[in-house]
Amino acid sequence: MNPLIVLFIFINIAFSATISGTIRDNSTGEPLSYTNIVILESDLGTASDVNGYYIIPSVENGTFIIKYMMMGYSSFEKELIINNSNIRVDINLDPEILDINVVKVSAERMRFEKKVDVSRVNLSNREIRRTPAFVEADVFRTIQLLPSVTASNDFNAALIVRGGSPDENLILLDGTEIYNPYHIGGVFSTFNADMISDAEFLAGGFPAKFGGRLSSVLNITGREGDSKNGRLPQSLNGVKKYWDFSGASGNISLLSSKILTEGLLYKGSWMFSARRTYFDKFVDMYYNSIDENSPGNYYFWDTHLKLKFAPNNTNQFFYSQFSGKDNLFIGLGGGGFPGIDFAWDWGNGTKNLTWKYIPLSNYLIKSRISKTTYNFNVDFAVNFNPDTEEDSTTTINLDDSETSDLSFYLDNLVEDVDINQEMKYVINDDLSIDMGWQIKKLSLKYTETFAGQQVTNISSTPQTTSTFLNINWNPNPLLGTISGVRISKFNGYDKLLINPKFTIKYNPVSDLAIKASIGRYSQFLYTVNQEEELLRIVDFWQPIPEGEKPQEADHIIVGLEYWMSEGNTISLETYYKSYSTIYDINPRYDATDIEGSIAIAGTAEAEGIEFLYRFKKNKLSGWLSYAYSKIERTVDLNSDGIIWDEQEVYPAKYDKPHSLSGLISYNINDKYTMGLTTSFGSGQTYTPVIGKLHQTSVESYGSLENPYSNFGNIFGAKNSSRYPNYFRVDVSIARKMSLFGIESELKFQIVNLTNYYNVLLYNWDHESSPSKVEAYSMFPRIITFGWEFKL
Amino acid sequence: MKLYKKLLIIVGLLSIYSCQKELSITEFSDDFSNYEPELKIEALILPTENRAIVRVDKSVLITDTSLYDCIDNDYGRTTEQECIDLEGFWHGDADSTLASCGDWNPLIHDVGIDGEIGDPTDDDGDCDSCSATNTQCQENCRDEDSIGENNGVPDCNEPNVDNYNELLPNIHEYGCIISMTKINSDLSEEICEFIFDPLAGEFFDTQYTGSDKRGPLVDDFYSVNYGAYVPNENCSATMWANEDGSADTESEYSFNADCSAAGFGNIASKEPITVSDPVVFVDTILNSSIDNPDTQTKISEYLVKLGIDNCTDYNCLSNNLNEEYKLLLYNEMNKIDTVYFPRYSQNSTILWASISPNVYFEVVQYMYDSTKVNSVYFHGHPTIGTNMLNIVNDVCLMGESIFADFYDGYGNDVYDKGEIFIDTTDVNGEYDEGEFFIDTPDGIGEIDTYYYKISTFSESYKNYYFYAQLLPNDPERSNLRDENMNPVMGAFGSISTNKINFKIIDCLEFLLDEESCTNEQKTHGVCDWYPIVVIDDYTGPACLPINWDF
Repeated sequence: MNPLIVLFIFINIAFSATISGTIRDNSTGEPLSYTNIVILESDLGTASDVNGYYIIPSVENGTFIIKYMMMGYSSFEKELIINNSNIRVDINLDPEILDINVVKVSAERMRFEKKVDVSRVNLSNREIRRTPAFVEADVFRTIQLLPSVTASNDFNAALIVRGGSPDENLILLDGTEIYNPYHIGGVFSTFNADMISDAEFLAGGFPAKFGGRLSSVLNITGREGDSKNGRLPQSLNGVKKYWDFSGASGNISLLSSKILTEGLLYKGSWMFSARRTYFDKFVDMYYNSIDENSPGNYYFWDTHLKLKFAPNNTNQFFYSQFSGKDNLFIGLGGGGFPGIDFAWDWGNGTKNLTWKYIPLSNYLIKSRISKTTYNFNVDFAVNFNPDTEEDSTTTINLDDSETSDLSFYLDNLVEDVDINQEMKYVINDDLSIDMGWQIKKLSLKYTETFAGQQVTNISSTPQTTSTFLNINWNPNPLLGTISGVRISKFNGYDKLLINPKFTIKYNPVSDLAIKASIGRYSQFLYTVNQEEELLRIVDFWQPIPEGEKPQEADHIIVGLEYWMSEGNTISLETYYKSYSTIYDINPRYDATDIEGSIAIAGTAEAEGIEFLYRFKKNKLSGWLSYAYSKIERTVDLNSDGIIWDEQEVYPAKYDKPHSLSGLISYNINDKYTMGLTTSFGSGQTYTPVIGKLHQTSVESYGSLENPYSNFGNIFGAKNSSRYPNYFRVDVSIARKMSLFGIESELKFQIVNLTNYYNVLLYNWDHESSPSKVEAYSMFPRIITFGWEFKL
Repeated sequence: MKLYKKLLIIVGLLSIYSCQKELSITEFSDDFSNYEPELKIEALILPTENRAIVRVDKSVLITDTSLYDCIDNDYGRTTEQECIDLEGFWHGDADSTLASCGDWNPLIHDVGIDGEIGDPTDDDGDCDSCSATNTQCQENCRDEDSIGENNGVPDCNEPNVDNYNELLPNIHEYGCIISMTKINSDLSEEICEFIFDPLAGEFFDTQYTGSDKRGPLVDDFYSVNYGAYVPNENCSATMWANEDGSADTESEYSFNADCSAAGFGNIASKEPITVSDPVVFVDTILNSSIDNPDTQTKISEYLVKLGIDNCTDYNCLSNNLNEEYKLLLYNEMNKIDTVYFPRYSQNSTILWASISPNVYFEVVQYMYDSTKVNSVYFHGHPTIGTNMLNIVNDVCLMGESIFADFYDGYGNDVYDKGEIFIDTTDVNGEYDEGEFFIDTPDGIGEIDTYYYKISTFSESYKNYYFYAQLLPNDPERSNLRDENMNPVMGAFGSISTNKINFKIIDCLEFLLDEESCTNEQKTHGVCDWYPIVVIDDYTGPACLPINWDF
């Protein structure tokens, strides 16, 4: 153990006591995050963390009343006698009917007063599920209503945070990184909203314990499960002690069915959630009914298992496992056409074991080992002599190249084994230290096999070793600081990367906080995805080129937060992000050495100002946000060493100067709840078409034989035009009821209520005089509904 | 058609078209209003064909209203008799003396503005009132004529209206003075002036035949001529190649186009170019996955076997090739005209070699028609040797897999006399309705003879062809510059090509004939006689492709 820590421990033990413990929901046993804990008639207090754990250090000897408060739960007071010894107090709070007229000091107020952070928002399961969304509630779509975040389009849920590309976001599920967090090419995130306990989103200036990304962190914590309401009969007491079933909830929507079950595990709890789409089943039923092979199909599924085992007060073990997969199959041909079979599947899998060790009440060690796998593979086979029977389709066994005339197989694998440890030591109410280390070992493989011959094989084993230190110091009650540093070594780069960070918060008056943060961030991986992509079906991860400088960005953030009243806050943040190195796809890559030349380095600058008003009044809650932003990139795309202003200095595809969003939730009465979201913003940039030209192109294979094969576009300055403004209103109404004796909620949603025509892309047809142009839209008005139930 | 299929189509179309709408181009006038047409020049030396060609074309404004005029006028405005003499279709009426003359045939091309027989999208909108459940109404709507269909006159978007023959003359630029200069290795210079030839080049395009069948293999190719500049008669015989016909890779070439008269100024190559060596064919692999070198280690071993692993130039590739492989060296004094592959073979390959960095290729396969008079484009694609696989030392070994089958195109969905059928209905030796038959194409027989053209590029043309993600006037993609040294769309470069014929032998033709099977004249060594073969219910001898994997 670090001698400094030992010294701190000694000092602490010698001169003060610490109160610590875990706060849980008395009805389910689930931890309650951000519960407010205060020692009455003193300045001491804190809030529980995302796992319900809290520490109040440096409590002097004496008799105190400690009070636990959480919105939606009965307050609880307890008398404590402190006598130079640390005390562990675990509390279970009882849920209560929310009395909106009773004003309590909330966890949010505690965070406002105590926590030194910038650009952070926490979303609860309830907030995510109450937000109207396309077919299903989705954490990504909720986050995209925040001022820092935009989406590429309705079909692409990838998070674009303050101008950063989606690969600059660190997406964590129970601490494990997810490399492709999307289903259906990005229409949905891969996270089933039902299983989320808390989603912490950091849009910038994030602390040193998070590393390896330039823009943001989305840290999703899965539910632990209800361990309190076991339903097994007492006659099965022998089993009941080790495993019990507390309940299940589910959701049936137009897209999928979901189920979440939970219960007690010996000295702990368990939770399992699963979701699967069933569109493919209907397709199969249809084709079976007409005695034909299905020409194509698609489905996705995901599951999440979480187990908790807490043998005693000082040790807790968590096991979390997530699996998700998308499967797409298309079979074409027959009736004289060549048979074409196309199969594509992709998905993520994570396994994570966490040990939380609390040797002292003010000292916490979290150790974690995790493995995450992301894989996509494509099978493509052509049979030039298929069955010629009319209307039949061919089915080629994709695993058997002997049955096809031409086959193509693509396989991409990302494996990440991560071992890390975090230590938190609370010295006193004004000083605490976080430190830790991380070893991350990846294996990236990409192969293409054409006609049985492997034509591409790119593999690498990047490894990073990092350590971090955060010092949280409040020099006086009005001023709080976090000084941190993350030091990383990447095996593809000789130098040590030192990323310092500093955050300061000042409360000139009790309801106003002035915040600032400055920090440097590095990233060793990037995705070879086109900026212009409409769907984000796959992420092709690559390490930065061997020996080249990792991607690097500096964040400067200055902001104000004003506390109006409980649940009502206004925040204003301005930021400047300078990317000294980013990597993009090299349009002039050397095809003889794709691995060594596919990336091209550039720079970028992003700046903006964001306004967020969160409100909660009577039955109404939600937020309104506005953001102004500007993102400009400079990349020597043709690698000639000269920056061509018109084509190589350009606004990013994601540059949206203005965006305005709102989320409103209204509890009409005990039965009905209404939700509304709206987004209005500048359209994305695109490169305009200014003329047309008959030309040959390598994209039209063999076209050298036809030099006029492609009557294509002549483009103007890169990203110099902009699609029309984006506007969308979604509404939802939910009704609680008993259906067939089952506690239920029916949910009815209208996406794009006004049927506003949001342009996805323009397509030019030059084979007419004058040329014609068509627009393709994003979501039209769509009506969806679903049924949630609880067993 | 059954109800559910109709419903599916309706729902699909509604889904697509509800999200799609046509806009007025005036909404985009800010984008293109300042654009002026510019030139695109593709100046090519083809040393292995001992010629050069320069295509000079203009870009077109978005707002141009003349290029697609919806008139079928391949041969311009003529009298009816002149049009008949040209074997064209005359589009005048009884009162006309002059009218447009083209190749729009009212019997097969009068399909309306949607370019398809029938009207799947209800172009004229008269079916809007059809309810989704009214199947008869939907059926009628789909089969009704679209606007312009069967009206007896050419309309926009109908086949052969505004086709290449009509468009290309309007985009060619005729007003340039073109020249190329050759700087020989002894620093002497030769200059070649060019003249415009309206039939300078040709390419294959597909034509509408009235069939709704589409696929990668089509029967309806036809040749299109285009105009370009070609060397005038005074140019030296050795301007583009050595006296023996080989590529002159020692000399340098530069290019100049004075297009001042056309308002485009003077355009020149920014630096001289040299032409590339053509590839050297080194071997064929007959139906053997084991022999196919699919890793760099195997390629390295293969090059050793060929004797060219340490070559650093093309002479070495040709001269050092072990004797048994030299048969494939194709040139005018060819030692072998055609290589052979067994039909149905899964792993047959043609191998060629080049010297790095000349590792960017285009592969184009042609097939001979049944008369062997003409060759027809079959397929083509670019290919590139990589450091991780193909390139060992300075040698790049590449392979092109053979699709070892006869090309039989598509038939007409109707049994024609002579087509193979399975006589199942009443076993009368005659085709009966409903019996299975092999619908072979009409008009061509099964094609068994093909050739590959493998091309290499000068550095400049490689950049132009392969850096397709860069703009056509990107300074790294184009090596042409105007008087102000601004890049001009296009490139000046060279393409060197080598060609190899191959023929597919159907061993099953000699299935039980050992003598023919082993006759080198008939099967060219690609079939093998297997004394005992067990296939399904048959056990006995058979003639099958060499290296057959049982």
